[in-house]
Amino acid sequence: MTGFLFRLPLALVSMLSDIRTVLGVFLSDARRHKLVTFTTLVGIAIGVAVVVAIRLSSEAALRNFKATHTSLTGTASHQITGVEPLPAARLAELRRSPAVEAIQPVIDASLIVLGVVDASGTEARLGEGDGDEPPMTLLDVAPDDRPHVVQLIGLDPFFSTPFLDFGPPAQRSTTDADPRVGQLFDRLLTEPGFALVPRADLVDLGIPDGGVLRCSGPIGEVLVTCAPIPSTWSGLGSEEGDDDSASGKRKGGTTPLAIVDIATAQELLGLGDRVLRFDLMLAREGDGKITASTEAAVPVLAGELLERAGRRGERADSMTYAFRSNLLALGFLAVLVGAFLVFNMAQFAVTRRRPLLGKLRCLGCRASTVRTATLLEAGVFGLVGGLLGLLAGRLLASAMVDDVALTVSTLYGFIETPTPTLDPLTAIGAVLVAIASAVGATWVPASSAARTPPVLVATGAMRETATHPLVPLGFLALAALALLPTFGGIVLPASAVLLLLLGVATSLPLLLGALVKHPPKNVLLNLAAGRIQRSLARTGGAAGALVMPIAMTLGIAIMIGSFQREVARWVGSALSADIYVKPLWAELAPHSTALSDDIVAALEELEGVEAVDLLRYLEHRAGSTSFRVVGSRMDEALHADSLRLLEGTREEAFAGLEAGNVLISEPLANRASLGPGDTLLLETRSGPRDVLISGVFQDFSYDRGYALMEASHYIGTFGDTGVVGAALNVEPDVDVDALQASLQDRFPDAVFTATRAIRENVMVAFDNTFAITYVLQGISTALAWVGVLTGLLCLHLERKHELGVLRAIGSTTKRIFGLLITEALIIVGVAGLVAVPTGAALAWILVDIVNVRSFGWSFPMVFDFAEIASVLALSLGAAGLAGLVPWLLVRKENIAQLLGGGS
Amino acid sequence: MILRTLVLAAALVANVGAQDVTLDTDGFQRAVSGSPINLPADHASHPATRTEWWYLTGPLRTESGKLFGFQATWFRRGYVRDVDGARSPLAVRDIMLFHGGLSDVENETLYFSDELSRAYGPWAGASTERLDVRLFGNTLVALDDEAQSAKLTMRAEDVVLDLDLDLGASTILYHGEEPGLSIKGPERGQASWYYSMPRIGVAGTISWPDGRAERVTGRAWMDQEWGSSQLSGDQAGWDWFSVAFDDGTDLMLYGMRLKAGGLDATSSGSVGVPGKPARHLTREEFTFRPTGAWTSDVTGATYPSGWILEVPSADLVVTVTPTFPDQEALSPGSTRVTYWEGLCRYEGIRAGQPIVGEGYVELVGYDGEFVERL
Repeated sequence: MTGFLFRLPLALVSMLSDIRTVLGVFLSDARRHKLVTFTTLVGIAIGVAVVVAIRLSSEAALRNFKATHTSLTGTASHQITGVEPLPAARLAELRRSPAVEAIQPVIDASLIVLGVVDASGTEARLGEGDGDEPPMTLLDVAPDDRPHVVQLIGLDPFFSTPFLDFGPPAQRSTTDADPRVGQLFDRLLTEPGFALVPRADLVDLGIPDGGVLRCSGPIGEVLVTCAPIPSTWSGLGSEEGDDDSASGKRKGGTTPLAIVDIATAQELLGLGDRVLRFDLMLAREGDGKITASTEAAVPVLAGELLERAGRRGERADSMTYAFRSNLLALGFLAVLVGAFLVFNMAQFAVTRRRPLLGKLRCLGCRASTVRTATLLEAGVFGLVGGLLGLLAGRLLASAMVDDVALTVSTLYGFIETPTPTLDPLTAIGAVLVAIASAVGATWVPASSAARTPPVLVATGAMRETATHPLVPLGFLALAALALLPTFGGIVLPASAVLLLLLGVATSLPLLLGALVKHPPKNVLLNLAAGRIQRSLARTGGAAGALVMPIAMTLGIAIMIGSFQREVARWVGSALSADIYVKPLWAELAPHSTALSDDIVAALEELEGVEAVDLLRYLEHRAGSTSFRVVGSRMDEALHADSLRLLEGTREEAFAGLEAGNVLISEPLANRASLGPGDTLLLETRSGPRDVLISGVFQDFSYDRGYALMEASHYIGTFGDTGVVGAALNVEPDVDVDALQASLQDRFPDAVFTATRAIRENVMVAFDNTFAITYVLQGISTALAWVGVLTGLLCLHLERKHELGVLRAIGSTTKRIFGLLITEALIIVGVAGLVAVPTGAALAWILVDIVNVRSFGWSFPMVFDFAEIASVLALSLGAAGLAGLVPWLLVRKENIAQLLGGGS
Repeated sequence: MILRTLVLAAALVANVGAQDVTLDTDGFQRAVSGSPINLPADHASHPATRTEWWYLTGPLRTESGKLFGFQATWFRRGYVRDVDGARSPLAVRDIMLFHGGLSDVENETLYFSDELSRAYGPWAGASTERLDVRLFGNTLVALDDEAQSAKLTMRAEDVVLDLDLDLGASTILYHGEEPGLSIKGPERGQASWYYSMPRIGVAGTISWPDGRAERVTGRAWMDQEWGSSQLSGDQAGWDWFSVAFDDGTDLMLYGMRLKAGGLDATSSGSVGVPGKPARHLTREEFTFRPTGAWTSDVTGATYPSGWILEVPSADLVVTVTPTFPDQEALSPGSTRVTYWEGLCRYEGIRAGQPIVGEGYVELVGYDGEFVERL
């Protein structure tokens, strides 16, 4: 017992000392092989950088989106919005309710900034305008030419005090210590077009104090005079530009704010005496809760919606659910590709060092010491590479955040490009993934090197072996399991993508080994095959590193291509009318608004118009699911061609509509697992009612899905919720463009768009939707090249002495080049050939499973042979480089140098 | 913060010095002689002036004899003299404020609420045609063209008062040496148009939050005053008394306190005795002296509490006693002025005859903050 107590610390000290010695040897080895060390670190760093960049940029964009859609609710518990702007007079009725403790009218909308006029009257145009006519509404701005906007917040300061902190009372009165504050307040109340802007936003926009913004809004061009918000009005974003917790705004890349008096907002936006919402504070019980009966006591009218203030944020969350899910899946893939790269580099490093490990064992090092030191070193590589990757990822995030913002803007509503911020969770997570991948990748080769008899390892007589066949098979089996339809959600399909890629990548050494086992009787091929065979773990690893990103690129390309084709087809047929009309407000304010009665009446009596379809809709919420119910004149003659039924027959569908049944769009059908013959529960004016579903139609316009109802039944069920859009079918001999232009002149409160323009816009929007995906594709391609290049380059440099031997026995440098190219072609060729079916399988998972589950829409998968060819060309390019670069490096060295070996 | 843009505070800052003495610097009309008050037309709002108020106070009794006092005040504060007609209906021209108090004498409790809003038809405003002032649910509206009767609805905390007013029953006091023109300072234009209706008959209900409604009857004193620059910077506040005695005598006195101590020379009053025309009382014609003091637990302000008023020229001596001490009003939601406005018992002797009455006393400028602002 006593002996053991003595021996234990001694053994520990001795082991630690051994490990230190071995680490010292490793360090000097790493120093000698700087290129290998460098490429290993770069490989790890790239892997980490991709993961970090995707996470940071998407988080920033989504955070910005949510902030934009929940801004300045302050301490409001509830909000009332309307189908159309609400009369300000409603405030008097609402505040009479005992349930309402405080109420404020709010107008929030966006104005496009055209330019800044400074005090001297000189004007600078913002952005990169080319001198064309300035855009007049967001509609006129091509989605890829994103305008600068300011978020106009109209408040009534007399009612805002309970909601927003305007600072200590002593700071504001005509007898203020600082009279300028009082003057600003008076100007806010009385000066037309006067706005208070957070100091930081003034700086961002380049507006001097007192500068005037020339803006475009619903009524045309308007001028906004800007002054900084006094520092004491903390609730509105202070003069110092501090973060503003009360308003939910944060600095950095958010849309600039312009706080105006409610009357000013009405004037700038042409709202008359209407407002866009009321913020309320409802009475709380003793426990601080607001009861359902209190909510029910608020006298809400038809066409008004009372909801908890947080609901807008929740809605922003639910709106972006599909996008976030997709990003999550892409993030998973990025982690996988990144981790695999790290894995590959680490494994490569250990395999390369086997002879050294053998020598250490021969000198008396224990197997456990060798393994521990190897793993420790891998951990350090993971840590250093991870930190480098973190830095690179943060930079990459800044570069790609614009594309992410474009995607979010296109899908859900305008946001300014945000500034990504690195949060500790992401940072720690990314570094841990790097360390874990590096250590995990090292584990098997380190253990195997430690276990193998020292003599075999040291003399290099041991051949590298391929992975055990059960490993790839296991991955593939798990992938198949994850795709079983019993499991919903998209986490499992995303995992299946991951497992599939892992399975294929780990099977490559096996495939490569089988291929080169019986080479044809050609010296060059024989030589190349032998070299590949001897370093199977490394050559296979390089092929694996290539196959993963290439397959991913191909899979995503097939998915997008198929999707694009189907959307183009759908846009071509679904829009059967010639001109579409919507209220001006639908574009600028995040509220559903209606066309005025005057416009509706006029539309119905237009000359040159054959048919008018008036659209009404409401957001239907039932529990956690929400969808849109649309009332439209479902005339069979008008819609027979435009409505593509996926389930149910046309006759049944139109007969059903006439009888008061609904048709549902594919996303709704998929999400709620509904089909013809099922019923949809609707909250109607007269209580809940089950409505029969007569068919399922194809739609790509709204990923939450909608139910279509005949207009008269819609009104009977929900009342007239207001006409939110109209579709005009023009008589055959009428010039559509001329009619559209004349209507637009006649009704400036509505937006008239010719169908052709919509079609074009949809396709531009489609491209914008995939902006982030394209970026990812680019990164994948870069990864593929980096993976294969670093892998093969290190291998070649490691085995320079072999080339020296070949030169010594008479090979020309030309012949050596042939050998290197042949070797690279075999490796890359196998990878490319495997990548094509893998990419196809990936595309199938993305199209038929991930897309259906996240967005709810399906489309046929179409193979684009040009894509496949480009993938193969990409592989060939990589092969060429992988052969060429080592040759360039070795060709100038003489035989003695080559025989010296090392890098 | 807006709350401080206030009628009272702002009105205290003299705007004398503008070139046209009939207009203040923002173009609002000052009160100058030569345009006598014309009722009922002048019950309506006078938007050409910057400041205006309709001030009703008075005692109310339930059928069981319980005594209450009420105060209902609508202030109008002109912000912009002329607003471009093309502007939004919500563009700020006037701001309306309301103070409503109900003194429950039996329980020694003051219910008090205050509000403010920009003038905008459906929210708040004052008619330029007739007696019709409102701020959301607090309304004072004439029921006929001659303004013989009116309806008052107000809320003080959760208590709602609905009162029918018999304006036709009241006498009218036109204050000032030139009837209706109440001089508030030494400069020309430092004045207001000011009349009172001391004997408005009142009947109505007090509705309590628990659903009870009590019928009440009583009498109201209404002041309407408008002008653009009344007070001087050296004034510290005022003490104001109003009472309609049971023998038909009406009395209004105010003492404008100076920061330096003592009363301003423009302090004045009006007295009306049965059978004689009402007459103006100059600073020299009356005295009042406190007989006690009360300190607020809430604000720490110390107010005089109880007075002896003497008006030798009217052969009148009166003791004034608050019905209960704590009738201090805080107006965080509007003017942010802290003041004491309470129902008091007036007992005295006029021409050798004992007289009694219930009336109001208003004490402004006793909290430090207000004095500093002055």
